[in-house]
Amino acid sequence: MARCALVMPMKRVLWLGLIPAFALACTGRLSEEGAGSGGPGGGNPSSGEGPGGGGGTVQLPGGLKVEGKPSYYRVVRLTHQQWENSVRDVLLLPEHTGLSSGFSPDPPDGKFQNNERALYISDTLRIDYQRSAEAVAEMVAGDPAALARLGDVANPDAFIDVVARRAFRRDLEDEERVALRSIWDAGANLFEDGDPATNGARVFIEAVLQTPQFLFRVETSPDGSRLSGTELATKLSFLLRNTTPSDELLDLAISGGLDTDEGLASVVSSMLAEPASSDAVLAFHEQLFGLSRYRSILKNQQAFPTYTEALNDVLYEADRAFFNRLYTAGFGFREILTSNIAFVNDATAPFYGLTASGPELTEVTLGPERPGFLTRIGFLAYNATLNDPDPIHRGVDINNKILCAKLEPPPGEIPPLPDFVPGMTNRERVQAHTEVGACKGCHGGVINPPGFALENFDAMGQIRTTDNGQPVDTSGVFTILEGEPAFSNITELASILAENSVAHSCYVVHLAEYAFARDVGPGDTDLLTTLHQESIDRNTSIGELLLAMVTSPDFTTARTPNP
Amino acid sequence: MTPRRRINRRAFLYAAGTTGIALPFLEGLPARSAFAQEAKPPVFGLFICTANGVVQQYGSEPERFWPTSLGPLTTESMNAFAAERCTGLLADHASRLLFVRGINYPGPLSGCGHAQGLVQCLTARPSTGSANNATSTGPSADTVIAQALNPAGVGPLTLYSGMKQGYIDEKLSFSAAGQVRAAEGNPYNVYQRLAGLLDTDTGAPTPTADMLAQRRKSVNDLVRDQINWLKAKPQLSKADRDRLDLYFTTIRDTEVTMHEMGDACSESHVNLTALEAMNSGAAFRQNGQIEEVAKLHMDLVGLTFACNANRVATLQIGDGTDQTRYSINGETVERFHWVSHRVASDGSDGAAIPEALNWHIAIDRIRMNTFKHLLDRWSEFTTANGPLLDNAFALWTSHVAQGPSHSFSNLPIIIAGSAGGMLKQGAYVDAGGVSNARLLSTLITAAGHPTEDFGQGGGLLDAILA
Repeated sequence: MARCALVMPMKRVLWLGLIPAFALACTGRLSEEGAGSGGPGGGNPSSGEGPGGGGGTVQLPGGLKVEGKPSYYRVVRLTHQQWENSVRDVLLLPEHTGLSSGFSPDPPDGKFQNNERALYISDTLRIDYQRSAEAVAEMVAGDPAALARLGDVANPDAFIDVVARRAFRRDLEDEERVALRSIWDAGANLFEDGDPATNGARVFIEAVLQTPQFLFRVETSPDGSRLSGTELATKLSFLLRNTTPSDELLDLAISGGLDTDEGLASVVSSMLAEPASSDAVLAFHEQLFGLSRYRSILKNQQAFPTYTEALNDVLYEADRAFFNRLYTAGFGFREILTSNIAFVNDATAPFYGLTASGPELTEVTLGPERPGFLTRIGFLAYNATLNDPDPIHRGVDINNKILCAKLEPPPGEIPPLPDFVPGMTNRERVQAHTEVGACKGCHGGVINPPGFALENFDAMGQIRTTDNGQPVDTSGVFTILEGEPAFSNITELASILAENSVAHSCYVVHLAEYAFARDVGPGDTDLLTTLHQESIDRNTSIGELLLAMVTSPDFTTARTPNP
Repeated sequence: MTPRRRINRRAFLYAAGTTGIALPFLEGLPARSAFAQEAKPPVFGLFICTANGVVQQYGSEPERFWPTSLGPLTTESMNAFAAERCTGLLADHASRLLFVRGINYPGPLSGCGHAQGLVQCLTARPSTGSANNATSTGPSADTVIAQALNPAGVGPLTLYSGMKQGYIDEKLSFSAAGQVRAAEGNPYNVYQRLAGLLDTDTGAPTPTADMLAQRRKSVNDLVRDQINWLKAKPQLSKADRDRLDLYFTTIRDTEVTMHEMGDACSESHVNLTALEAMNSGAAFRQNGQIEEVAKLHMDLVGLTFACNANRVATLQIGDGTDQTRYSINGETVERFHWVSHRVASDGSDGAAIPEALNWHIAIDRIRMNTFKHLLDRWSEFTTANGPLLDNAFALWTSHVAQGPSHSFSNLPIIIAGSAGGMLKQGAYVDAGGVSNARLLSTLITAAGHPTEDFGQGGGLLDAILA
């Protein structure tokens, strides 16, 4: 019988390939989706040179290979959250409309939610946009104060210039101005009653929220040139603030403030200091490490009587707080694996052997036996069964998310794990099943060792010293890594990973995919190699990595791979 | 027939996006309803795929699904096995049903079969990619039907019932190889998109509707112009222009008419209270709602077909490793995926669940009652050409054949409706162990698009033809 993980991308790696070398057996290909063919309405990118150019294999220090096919769309739809934030900010609303909660969901793409491939408009989403634009326009037009915030309806040209500039994220071109004024004027005859000027404003708002200039992020700078100031402002704002650029940022862009690397760096530094950038970086880590999966954790009440499903949300929020803390403190990738910071409340503290008062999360410092994210109870409890730790899932997660290893599925059906024999530990049982025959190639040195390093944490992430009456064994040799390092416990393994070249490369690649909102390609190799080195040599902070990425030609250059 | 009831005004106004609208008009159609414009009456198709297989004879597992003997089926003959086998619960509709055994997926089972099964369910091609990343190597049958028979820009109605827990969520409908179509899990949203189609008591256009239609026409014209203006930018790639073209094709002007619609294209078939309850607090994705959400989706698909708003729909019930915890005899039992494995894990390495087989049998009966709901409700729907079930088909299957084995052989297949008289009814047939490509080719043909080479191993399936 095959084994299917609810939470893990791989439970079927039991029969993984036989080749021990990292680049072969468990290659550093990020994912199948990285070699995708483009979403509906798209086409295949051609190869290209220069910044970011073309699809293919990216080879990075440590032997990590990433296959990606960036499409370099010039027309990328807003995500639903970006639509929601932009409507609020374009129309100066005090809060979100909430209408995007009813939008047709984005197709799952296996990538970050902002990846260009999935961001097109389907027929159902078009209806959602239309309905929502009409509802928003009605709401604004029906509220004189809301309308007044946008301008004077008695002066349509000025009103249109201000609002549409915010919506289009640049000054209007003459053709656009004429078209919008035309529909404003027509608005007087498109309602049964009401003030003609207000009706004009209402239909104008309906229209502007359905234009491709609003719904898509559009870049029309010549191929190979630096993006225009407003295009850069838009790209930056949607990445770091997740919304349309502010009037001030547009003003700065139009005045040339983003036309130089120095100017751009200054603006990005300021934006990275804003709370909004924390949200952006948090969204990256949440998607990368799959924190929302914690909501499916379930434990045996008899084995863990203090566990309730209500804890799942606490675990989720605790790890969000962990990643947010690392970012705001200026830490880098290393601390994700080594930091002793954790967040607990009265319900979760006992699992760490601590006490806390109240339901609010508070920051604590754990001992050296609890290094980094991998030893937080969210990760540990998620990668466990009702009763027992699950070293296979834990090991696969580490390989996939920390090392970008692509683990191939086994051929055929997988026989079940043998029954527990009295006195047998969980580790011994998994070893007996997976470290023989064809399974051994990857389980023996790749999947099982990092999983076994966490065997001193039970199914709820509590420290344990024995298993089924025997001492737990957390030692191993991680043969997927260069030099095949040995370790005696997770503290040592976390230190090894924190210094590992592939791990730093993997993190940098993930961050670049998020920052660029696309797959990485061979043209990104130089930048990624440099940032990998920065990360491993200087422990460059997450913010500094982002700064380097968005001020690089890979981010700032216009690309048209398939004109 | 459910008594006619006025639509909730607030909800309707939200759907219409304006005030003063309480009247019929067509929001989702690009042109006048086509009932009277086609040479042949339209046929509508719904594909339902459930999770985790059924309890059918396999190894030591007993038979609790298939009818007891091949051949004709009657209400009486089905009632005779209703206590033992879940399909007997459909006995009231025996004359509308066709059971098909001997259907397999073309690709082999490799490791975790859930994603592979979902992918092959409607594509009838071996999947590519591993584990939960498995994806399609071609479009799904609903895409082929939609592209051939829907107006340009109108894709299949793609629905989902369940929690979407992130491991294997929607993977049933594919617009092309590797391109999964997002599925709507909230029936309230489906209703919102249909709301403009709904008849009210009068059935007559009003000046307000005309005004809204005119306004939408004006806005649409502007949007089309802007799309074309953008497309002319030389810096855009073909992929960009394709993306803009896709948006262009989705823009459809409103028709202020209810002519040529089925009599059942009416708000009377909408249980707005239930829809609003599912929308409240995102209840639709909570555990325990999966079957109720599926029923609401089934109602809305029937309404969609009666209104001729779409020719084809899919409904995926449960994600790839459906973790729904069903309530059986008042007890919330273990996760369905674990129940289907008979052990407390997503694989085979957990503690045995002693009651798992009985729970799976009970879950199958719950799911069969959900399908019976479709049959009951669809029996109330009529198109402009007669009863819906005479002009449609609804396929019920599961993405693996059986729980513990995850087998891809002898998939559970039930087809309701004659699809315009093309499909056999009141029968249990054996296809003889063929690829589901032949089943899907036949259904695509029945929908009105003659096809013999869909998927891998195509050709028509004579065993199911009337």
